Amino acid sequence: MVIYIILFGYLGLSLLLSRLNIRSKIEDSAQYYLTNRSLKGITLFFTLVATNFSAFFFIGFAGESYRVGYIYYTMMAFGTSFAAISFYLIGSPAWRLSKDKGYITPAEMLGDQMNSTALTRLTALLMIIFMVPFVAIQIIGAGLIVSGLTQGAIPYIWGSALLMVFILVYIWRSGMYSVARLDVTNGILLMTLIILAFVFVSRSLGGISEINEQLMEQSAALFSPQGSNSTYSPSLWLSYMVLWLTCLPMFPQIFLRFLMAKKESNFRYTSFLYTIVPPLLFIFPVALGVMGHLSFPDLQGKAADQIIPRLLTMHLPGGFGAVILTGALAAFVSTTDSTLLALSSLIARDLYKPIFKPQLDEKGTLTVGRISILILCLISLVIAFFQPASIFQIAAMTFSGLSIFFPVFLAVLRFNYRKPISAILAMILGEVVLILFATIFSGACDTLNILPVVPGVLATILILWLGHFFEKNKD
Amino acid sequence: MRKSIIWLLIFSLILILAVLALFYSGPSKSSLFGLPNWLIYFFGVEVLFCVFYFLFTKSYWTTEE
Repeated sequence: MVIYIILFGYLGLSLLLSRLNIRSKIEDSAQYYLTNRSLKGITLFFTLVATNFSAFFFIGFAGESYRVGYIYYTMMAFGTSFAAISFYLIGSPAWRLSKDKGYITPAEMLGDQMNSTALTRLTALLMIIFMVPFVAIQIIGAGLIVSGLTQGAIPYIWGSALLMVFILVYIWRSGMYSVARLDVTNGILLMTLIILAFVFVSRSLGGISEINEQLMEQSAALFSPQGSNSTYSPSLWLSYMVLWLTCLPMFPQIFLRFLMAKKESNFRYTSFLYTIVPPLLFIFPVALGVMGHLSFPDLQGKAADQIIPRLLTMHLPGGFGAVILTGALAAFVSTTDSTLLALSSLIARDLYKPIFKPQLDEKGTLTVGRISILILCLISLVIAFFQPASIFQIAAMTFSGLSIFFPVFLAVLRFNYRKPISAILAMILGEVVLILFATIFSGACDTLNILPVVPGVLATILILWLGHFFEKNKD
Repeated sequence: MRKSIIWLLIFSLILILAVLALFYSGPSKSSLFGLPNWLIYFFGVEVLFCVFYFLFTKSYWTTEE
């Protein structure tokens, strides 16, 4: 009973908060998708953090740390922090252009700057292809959390559906206004609850110093600077830095955050605050994963991803463990709602309107956007229901696939690159190289101990550079 | 241009300092929360990055309003 009160209490309070003092009349896309570029201070900071930290932060970090040890902290904390440099490289010029020319989506910005509708459509299409599995995976995770919380009383697929309906209700009318409002609450929740989880579990196990000393004796590999079984070599670690730096700004939901700032200075200070959060916060889920070896020493494979729920069940009273797991729900909700909005903007503005109804007005475009959110939810639910094996493979490629856009955006936004054919070729061939190195040439990456994103991004840069010899700048 | 190169070098240097943690081969045990020494070194590099990123936003990143 307590668990239901916590779960539905969270959902009900969130709905209430999302409606308070919210603009009731949304007239155009800038309002619906970008809060009319009005965000600043705490709201801008929390919407960036909450959107970026998905349910993976709450559940997956601990699972991976359980497998490889404290090295995982260095990779995730430094990588996420270091990626703030891309906020300057991409975010700053994107904000200026969006303000001057009214761009809403990354695809329309890129295509319009190059005067190429083909480029707009290709970018939108690729982003959607990479992001839909990402949304589906989030929904699968959320369904598992709800099912776990209620000990199976709410089956997994109904848990997924419940959360989808919940998100639909609050984003349907007010879009990003409601999302940004809730991101503040969800951001505070996910940060506070992961810290509380750490404090209670570590106290229950005898304190962090004692836990680490005991584990150092039992499983010294967890304390190795390259991880257990030397999982992370320096070259692989550096590959991850390339991945985070290049993929983070290319997530369409993160890109929208760049455009939502009221002033560029608001965005600049937010980017600095953003660098501080990962080193301070990521140590908690990582330490929980490592200390999980004391209570559950023999988890194998995917079972390790359940280490936080298992620790909470073992060391905390049931109701309190459930309160803490709402942090995972908060992380899921704050990422999924923004992703759905970003994808709907790509579908409505970059694909549907220019291809099927060029004369469609702002109101009609918003309606298409809302309907596409509904369709995206249904598609994601169907994927979550069937869980085809390929969805996990494609979702694993989401981050790398988005990284391929980075050199193209950088060339356009920072180096005045205006060669659309070369840009299109660079994107397509970059993705092809990425897929080749992730599949049939994966042995090469294994030998060099790098991620496939490295050859993919290098191929993209090479083709952009070759464009200088074969294509003139298009004015 | 000169300033850009200086900042590029600073951030590259911090990245190198970070990856050096992976080459640590000294004693593992430290007195701070029982965490390994190389992780304490790594916290230091993180702080260094945050400080230099702050300076970067103050001195190099000029904004339009």
